[in-house]
Amino acid sequence: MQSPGLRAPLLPPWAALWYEAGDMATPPLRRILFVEDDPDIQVVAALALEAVGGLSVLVCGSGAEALSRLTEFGPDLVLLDVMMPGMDGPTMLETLRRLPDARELPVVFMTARVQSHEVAHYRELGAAEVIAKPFDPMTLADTVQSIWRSLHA
Amino acid sequence: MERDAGAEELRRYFAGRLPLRLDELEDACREARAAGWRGTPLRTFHRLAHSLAGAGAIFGFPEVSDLARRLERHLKPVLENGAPADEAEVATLLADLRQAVGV
Repeated sequence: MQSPGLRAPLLPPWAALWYEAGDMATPPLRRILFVEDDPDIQVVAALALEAVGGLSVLVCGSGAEALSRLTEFGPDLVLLDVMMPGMDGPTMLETLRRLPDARELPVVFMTARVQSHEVAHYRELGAAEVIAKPFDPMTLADTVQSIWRSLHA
Repeated sequence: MERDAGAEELRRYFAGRLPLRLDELEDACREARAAGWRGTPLRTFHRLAHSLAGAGAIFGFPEVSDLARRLERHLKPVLENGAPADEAEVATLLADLRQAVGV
């Protein structure tokens, strides 16, 4: 049975089984798909999420690469840069929402453009949350875990 | 203490990367100028300035980040509205970036 507070559209498909099993704890966050074109931010974020946060991270340098590896990796959550060459973050989110397997996948934007109207726009597009750049590498994993918990509160 | 050591390690990593990133930015500037400050070369130049601004802030290089952000903002109306690029301003910002990086 679904918890009244559950934000079902944001949950990955396996979450329903988890809740049906009667375990109301937040399901563990294990796998992050990180989409970012900057090679140095790729390094620092992967380090922060893997070494500090103990998460499994697949880094993709473009939206196209991320889409091609999505099924194989099976992420719990996507961290998505907004401004990228080729397919930008909003376009990738729009594409994800059309894919049956990824329609409900939580997507978190990472961007320096975090004025209130910009954040409101990202949420209208379907972003679960927005992480401001610059982020603190030492607390990035905690921030992501906190977002994950809030999605299951 | 561990946190400080981690931050310092990240700073060293990025300090080693900065000369290469500046070379990349200057190459992109040359290509944008050669293309008449239009099209893909200009978009690439703007994106690299944007990326350097973001990365500089994350890795603890506020001066680099600030100069790159100023460059990004200068290029934005050129990119979006076809406004004329102030080549002297672009050159000054790139020179200031070189000085900030110390190469």
